[in-house]
Amino acid sequence: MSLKIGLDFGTSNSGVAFHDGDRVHLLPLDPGSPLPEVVKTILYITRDYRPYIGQQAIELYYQHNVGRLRHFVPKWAGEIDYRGADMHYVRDIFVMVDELKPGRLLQYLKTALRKVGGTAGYRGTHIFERYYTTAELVHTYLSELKKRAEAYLGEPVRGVTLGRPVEFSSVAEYDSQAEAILRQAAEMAGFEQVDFELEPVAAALYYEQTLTHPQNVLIFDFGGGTLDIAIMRLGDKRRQVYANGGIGIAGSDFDRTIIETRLLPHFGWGQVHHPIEIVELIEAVPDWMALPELSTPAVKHSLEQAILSGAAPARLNSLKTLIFNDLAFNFYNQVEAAKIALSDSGATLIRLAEQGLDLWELYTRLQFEQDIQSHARQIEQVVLDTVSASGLEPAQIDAVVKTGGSSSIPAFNQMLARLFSPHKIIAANPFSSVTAGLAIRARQGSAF
Amino acid sequence: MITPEKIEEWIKEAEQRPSSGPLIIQFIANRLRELAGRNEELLAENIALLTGKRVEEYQQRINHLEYQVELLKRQLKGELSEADLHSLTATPGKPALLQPPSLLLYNALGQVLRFEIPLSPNPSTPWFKFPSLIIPEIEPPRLLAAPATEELLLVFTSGRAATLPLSSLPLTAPGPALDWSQATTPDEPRAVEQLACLVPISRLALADVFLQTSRRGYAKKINTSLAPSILANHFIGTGIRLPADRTFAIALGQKDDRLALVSAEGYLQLLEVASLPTAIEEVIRLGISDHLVAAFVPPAQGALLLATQTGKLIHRTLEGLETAVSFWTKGQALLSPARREQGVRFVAAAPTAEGDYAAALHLDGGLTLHAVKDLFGSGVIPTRSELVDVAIFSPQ
Repeated sequence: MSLKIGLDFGTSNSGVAFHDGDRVHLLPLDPGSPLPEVVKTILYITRDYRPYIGQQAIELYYQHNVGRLRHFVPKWAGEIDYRGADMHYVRDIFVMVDELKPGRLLQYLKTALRKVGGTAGYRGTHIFERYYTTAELVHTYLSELKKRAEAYLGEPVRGVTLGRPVEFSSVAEYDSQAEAILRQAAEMAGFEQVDFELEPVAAALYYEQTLTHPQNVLIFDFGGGTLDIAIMRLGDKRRQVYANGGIGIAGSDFDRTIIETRLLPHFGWGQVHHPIEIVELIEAVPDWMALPELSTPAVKHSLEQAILSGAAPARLNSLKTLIFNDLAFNFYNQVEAAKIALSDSGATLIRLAEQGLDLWELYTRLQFEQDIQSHARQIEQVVLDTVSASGLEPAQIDAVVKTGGSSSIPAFNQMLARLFSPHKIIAANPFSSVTAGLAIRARQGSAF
Repeated sequence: MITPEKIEEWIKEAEQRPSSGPLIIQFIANRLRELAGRNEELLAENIALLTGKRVEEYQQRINHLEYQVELLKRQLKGELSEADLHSLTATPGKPALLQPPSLLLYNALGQVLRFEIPLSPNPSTPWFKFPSLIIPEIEPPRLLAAPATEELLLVFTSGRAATLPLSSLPLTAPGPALDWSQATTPDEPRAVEQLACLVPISRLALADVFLQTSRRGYAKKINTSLAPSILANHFIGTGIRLPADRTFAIALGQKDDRLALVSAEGYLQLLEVASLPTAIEEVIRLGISDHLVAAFVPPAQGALLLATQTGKLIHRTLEGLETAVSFWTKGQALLSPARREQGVRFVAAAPTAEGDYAAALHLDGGLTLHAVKDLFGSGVIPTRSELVDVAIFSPQ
């Protein structure tokens, strides 16, 4: 028998579910995680090209990298042709590569899909000697998920219903390009039958299971990478999508804002007038992809020179520690953890005290709400625009179902309560309702 | 990083959401406590700087490093020319300039015989028999195998210590007429002192501690960072508690290493270096007639080879051996009570690997060479008399 699963490939977290005809089963595919049904969208590829995902990837990354030795060697990266009126010569270009690097950690793989468009779009990356295209990176992650699902279910899985945001990109061409890459990745992973469902629609399908009478429902799916909105009629034969909307602002953008607003001064930002190369280094701190790549001898030399010159030496030493002790992953985790903590309490600490780095930032919910104010305004506008596009008045919306990790942020809860009504706000499982809905869609088979 | 603007924002949070107030106070109070502790440390550091204590410490460290440089210079002097050194570093593929390892036979009177071991010892090397060489049963001579480029520390029972390059010792030609009169005495023991042991110290710069042990199972550790003053002030080799005891061995180790002690009556004690005392203390309970025959820092993995006076060998992997939690134990018994009662005694023990070689000294003056892998197979070093000591070495 061939099985078909629902797979939510999220920016921060992913999940797999299976509908047996009777009910939805969320598959506990990450036994090492506090929530085994939620697999972190993290991929760690070791030097021998073995892939690890989720909690296992995180643990292995720490095990391999904390306190490890580095040895940089020049590696030929290409050549530059110099042509002049009376001369022409070719010069080799070398980059310094850490030959002891045990593996490469990749996060936010889905964001790569959002950036595939255009000539300067993201195409892929080198991992040691191999070049991985975006499709290959996603395929590597999906293959591991598929293997785990098959091991858990005890049967081969041949079909998948994949979730996708309302829009990967506002440009239609790039949007279909991203979907095509995701389809290609799923096929490379061994899924013979691949179809898609919009993530908020999937969440709606799951919510529909609980309905006893028809409703106009607004799905507010707010995760790590995008906000997706769907306004639908659910619970009767007239089931239909009134409008879809979305914006590429979500959890990871808030993390970036926190770092830019609150944490850059800890690394020397605004302290004194730094040389341009140091400014560029500090500006790279919010970029999770750039920071791990900065641990080169040239950067170390620049930082050490700046420290010796006495310009904010303690702050720059913190920056050096962050870059050269593989603390970047831990740093971003602390920021994310602080953001999550502010959903429940009014104040929290962003704390990183490791290997000489002493980062202490008391952060309050009020500060967070101030920092993301401009994002919040844009999000409110998208909600209003989508309601307007649906042809319904806010009062005609019977329920607002919020899902996704970022939907727990109180500021957005208050916004929805203000726009609609507090009693209409329904909190679905933030991490699993889309996955469960995709399993329902996989069972139903046909398009909505 | 606390700015007035941030304080304003915290106050606003507490005003708007009173439940945040206690939380904010708690975070700030914890941070204050932490910073107060750090301030205390910085004040103490400041005092150490002002009083010159820190400068003295740094000066000591500089002296230590200068001493290490001097040792390295002496090791390389005459062995490698500048051009050799340059060629070795410039062409990694080129084989290293190797010298045959040396085997030293030394006694408590400070007499040393140096033999050259071939770079690729032939396991079927015939007996080197020195019938004229007297091997006393009490205070027998000891073997040490070391590279010719090694630096030696001579430790005397009075605490006096001297260093010399191994290559400065003359080579002895093996022959039937060999006796102690042909030995060299690089540093003659003074009145009432004896040569306690020879210690290879070329890796001193990489070691954290000296580990000193006595025949009766007493030990102490000494930081190598203080090496110049230790050697100058006779702190090494001294500190014997019992009248009949004397310094037996000195090993170099790291703080997270383990020290292995093996006694003649067949007990093995493994101790964490971190737990060893800095003032000499009994670390293994030995029987009245027992004494140590080996004290060394074993690698984390590998095998341990133990030899009895009859030539019988015991081979144990290091992984299965437990570290002692207390000094007040006899250690793990490696000989059965029956064999112990029969008079079987260990004469030597050392960590070893399959590619190593063993040099064995026999009571009748014989000196034999063996491949360790052969010894693992046969389980015995054949002897016509009794074994006195065994030294393990790698051919390169």
